Amino acid sequence: MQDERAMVYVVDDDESVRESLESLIRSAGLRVSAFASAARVSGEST
Amino acid sequence: MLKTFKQEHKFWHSAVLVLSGGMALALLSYVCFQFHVNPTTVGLLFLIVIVLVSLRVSLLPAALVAIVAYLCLDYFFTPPMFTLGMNQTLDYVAPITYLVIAVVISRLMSRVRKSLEDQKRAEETLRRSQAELAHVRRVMNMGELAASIAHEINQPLSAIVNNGSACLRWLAGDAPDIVEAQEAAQRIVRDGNRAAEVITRIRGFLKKTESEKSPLDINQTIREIITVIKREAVENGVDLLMDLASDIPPVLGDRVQLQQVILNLLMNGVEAMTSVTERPRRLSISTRKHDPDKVLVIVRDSGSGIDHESLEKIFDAFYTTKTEGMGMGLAISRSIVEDHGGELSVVTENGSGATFQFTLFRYQ
Repeated sequence: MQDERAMVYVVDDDESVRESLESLIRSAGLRVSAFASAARVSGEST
Repeated sequence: MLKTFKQEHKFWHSAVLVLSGGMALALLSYVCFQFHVNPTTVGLLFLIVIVLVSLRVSLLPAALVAIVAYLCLDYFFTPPMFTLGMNQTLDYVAPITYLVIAVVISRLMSRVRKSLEDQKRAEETLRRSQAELAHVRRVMNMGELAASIAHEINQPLSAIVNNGSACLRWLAGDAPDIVEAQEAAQRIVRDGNRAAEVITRIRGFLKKTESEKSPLDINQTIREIITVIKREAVENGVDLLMDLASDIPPVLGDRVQLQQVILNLLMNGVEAMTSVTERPRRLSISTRKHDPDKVLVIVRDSGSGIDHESLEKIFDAFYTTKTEGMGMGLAISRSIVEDHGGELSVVTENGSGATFQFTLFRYQ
């Protein structure tokens, strides 16, 4: 079954900031996927 | 304007010297004539006058004196008397010798004078660029430090804010997610510690600046740094007064660090007086013996003083009353002085300037 909720991609090189944003976005009921750099995002989506 | 004045001054200088040379020649001629001195001796005596004048004037005036000397010699001393003419060997040798000596000496001296001037100018330029370098380095260090502090602290801070908001959201509503909230709260603690670590590291870095303490003549240390700030003072219309006690024992200190402290206090003094117009801008630095084993360094300005509110905070890092300041100068200065076992303090009376002073231990 497909998850209907929107997906948020987070890109930040700082681990603390990344983790905190993941948690904050999840608490808002959205799906989240975090990356340390833009290059990793494109690697993930292909 | 200055150049014409200088040229005019030079002209009169030469004229006076040529005239004195002429008078010396006349006097010599008179005396030698009275005593019937032989022409060769007179010729040598004249040579002394030519050498002395050539040492001080340029080519043309020197040649002029040489020609006058030759005419005197030929007219009064070489036979036939009271006539000019090439009758004897001396009549040929004297003018050639006189002119050659006048030309060589005046040229040599002008070269010497020029190289002395060049040297003086080079020294002035060097001093100026050193002062600028010191200033640039100060600003740069502060700027780099500020940028790195801002970045290193900003990251954990924004993480803390995010985690805090997330934690509140996980706890809100009908079905709070305690586990998620706990995790967010744990991250807050972790990031807070990380920020504190950054601060500790910066403190260590500030302290670390390699203090190398050795016996030091504090008066000499002050004189060295005064040359750096002199231009800054002149440009700001500030009178710089030095009152260094002569009975000061050597202190134990790091020359560069102490100069940094003194320079900082002096720069602050200059900057504190930029708005003063109704009284003289006066910046003084003095040294005193204090207790049997301490030395006191005092920097006093005639600026507007420091108000009570600022007084409590001026030694805090990042506190500043200047538009372009970083607020690190006095904080660093105090930590350096304390690292030397001394104390940096301030006394101020509103409207009549501020007095900063610090103590140092004598070397034993």
